Amino acid sequence: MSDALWQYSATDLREMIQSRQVSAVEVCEALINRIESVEGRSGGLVQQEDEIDTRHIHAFIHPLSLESARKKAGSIDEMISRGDDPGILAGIPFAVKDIFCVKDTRTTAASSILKNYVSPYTSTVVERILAAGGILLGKTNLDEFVYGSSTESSAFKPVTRNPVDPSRVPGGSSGGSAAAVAAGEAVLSLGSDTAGSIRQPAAFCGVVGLKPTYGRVSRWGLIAMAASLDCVGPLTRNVKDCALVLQVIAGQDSKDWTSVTEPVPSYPDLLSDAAVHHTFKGLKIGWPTEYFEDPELINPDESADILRAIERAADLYKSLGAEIVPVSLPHTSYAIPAYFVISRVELASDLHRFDGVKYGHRTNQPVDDLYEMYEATRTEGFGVQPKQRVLMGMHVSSAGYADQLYDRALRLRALIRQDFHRAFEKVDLIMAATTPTTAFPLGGIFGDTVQMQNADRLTVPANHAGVPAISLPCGLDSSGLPIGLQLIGPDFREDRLLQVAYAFEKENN
Amino acid sequence: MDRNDTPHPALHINTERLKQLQKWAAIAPQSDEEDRYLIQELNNQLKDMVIKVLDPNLDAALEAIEPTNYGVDLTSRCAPMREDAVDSWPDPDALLDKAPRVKDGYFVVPVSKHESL
Repeated sequence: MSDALWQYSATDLREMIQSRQVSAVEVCEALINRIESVEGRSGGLVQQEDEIDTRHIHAFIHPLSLESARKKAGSIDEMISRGDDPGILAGIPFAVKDIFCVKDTRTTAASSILKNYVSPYTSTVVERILAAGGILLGKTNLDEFVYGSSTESSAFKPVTRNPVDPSRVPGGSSGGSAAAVAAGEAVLSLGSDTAGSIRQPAAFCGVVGLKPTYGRVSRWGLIAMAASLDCVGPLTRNVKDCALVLQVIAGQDSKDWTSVTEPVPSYPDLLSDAAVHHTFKGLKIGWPTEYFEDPELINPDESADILRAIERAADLYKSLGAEIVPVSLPHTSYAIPAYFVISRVELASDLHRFDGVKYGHRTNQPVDDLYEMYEATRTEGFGVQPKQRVLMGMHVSSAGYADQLYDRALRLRALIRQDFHRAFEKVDLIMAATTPTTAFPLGGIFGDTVQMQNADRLTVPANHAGVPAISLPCGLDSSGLPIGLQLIGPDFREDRLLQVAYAFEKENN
Repeated sequence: MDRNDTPHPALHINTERLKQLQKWAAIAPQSDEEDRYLIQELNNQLKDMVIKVLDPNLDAALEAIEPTNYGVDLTSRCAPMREDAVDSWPDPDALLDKAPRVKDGYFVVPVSKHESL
């Protein structure tokens, strides 16, 4: 049985560990064995890919903290033996995207400029999971500074592969986090979502991914990409696990002013059959016509399997008593352009801090003055994708253009928010596909920055509006690749999203 | 495009503009090949994505709505900001330890050239 423990959900493992059916050490060893059999080489700088690498996942970016994981698992078992409360995630092995600071571990954002940076503090979300008894296995790979939708832009190679089909991308930017969960290398993981970076890889790898409401979860200790859009959330094997993790990480944090004081419901308790049944009484689910018909957003031929899967999900919801109601979100096709301007302006500002003075890489070239040191450091440290994004940020925010572009983009964000607000006056939540395609081949679009950005066109509207959205598996396409169903809810209604997602998962199983 | 259908100056980046942006961003040109890639991609982004932000069909709707810093209205939902007071980090040496060069508790950087005060 021990060897199969990597396949269990956090919810099941939690019960098994606390009832002493299995030990935390056994669970930890099962995950370590699983990592040893499927991971292959973890990410490193300047590594050429070998043929053998094409058959492994490479979800992690650093040598894993396996000894400390074993030690913590032992201490969890001791706590349980003593009758102490070990926390609601006690003994659950997890992974975190390498964009979260964890004290005394390398925190690189998948960039050469931070290749040797060891964080002096731990992000709030990781601290909360550790305090709840979670066991950290390591840091997962991502697109450099989260700039991408395939994890291919990481400076650390071999590239992460999709566990369902290793010739394909895991999605991004939280590709390593999604791949680790899908491959059984971690029971759950943390990611960040600025334009879809949790939901898109979750959809591509066939796991559950939640972007909470902006402000629901602290961002302290998360290396910022676009601070007004970044959200932290879980990637898990099922909806119950997602509720469990959200329960642990949600809530106000004095270190992040944008984390809200709204009370945190007991999300796992709301997934009882009775509570879910009650939610479906009179439930109205919005069917956003633009997501299914606007040619700028969806190609019916290219997305035929996906559209059929979402229609089947709608039929299932109807059979459970929900009413499917057409709604319009008329500014959806402007979401990527507005995101493009806002994110570039914010990230160009955020990346100025990487200058070789306080932390990170510093050039060894001889320099005559401070500017030359900045320039040589940044040129050596940044990959080409961060460079092009910073340059665009400088362009669109420069004098004469900022008013026309940045100000209009911020107003567009308000219009997109207004679209959702009006839709939620008619319906309780909205359903759509998470992505317009399933996982694309490695190298398929990497380098084409427009196509890569457009991969997020069905997920980014929720980031503009700040509303919560979840992606859950809803079948396979004709190539056997996972399809993601996206549910989007009003502010702070993660409880309703989780209930409706859980109902689908339960019926669909 | 503006109302006269002449290209908006924000919608094109040439070699000269790229050099200016690289200077502002403190990112030096690496190679002609990389510069060609950057110009190609930045211009593709401008003509395929940024141009839509300038869509004149949006003018009336945009004028009628205020810009937002966040999607969610945070004003009534966040804890009061803490007092604006110095809150020292408990272990400054641990922070200095992350810096590439330090001396006597300070970050060390090359001299900054000043042409005038």
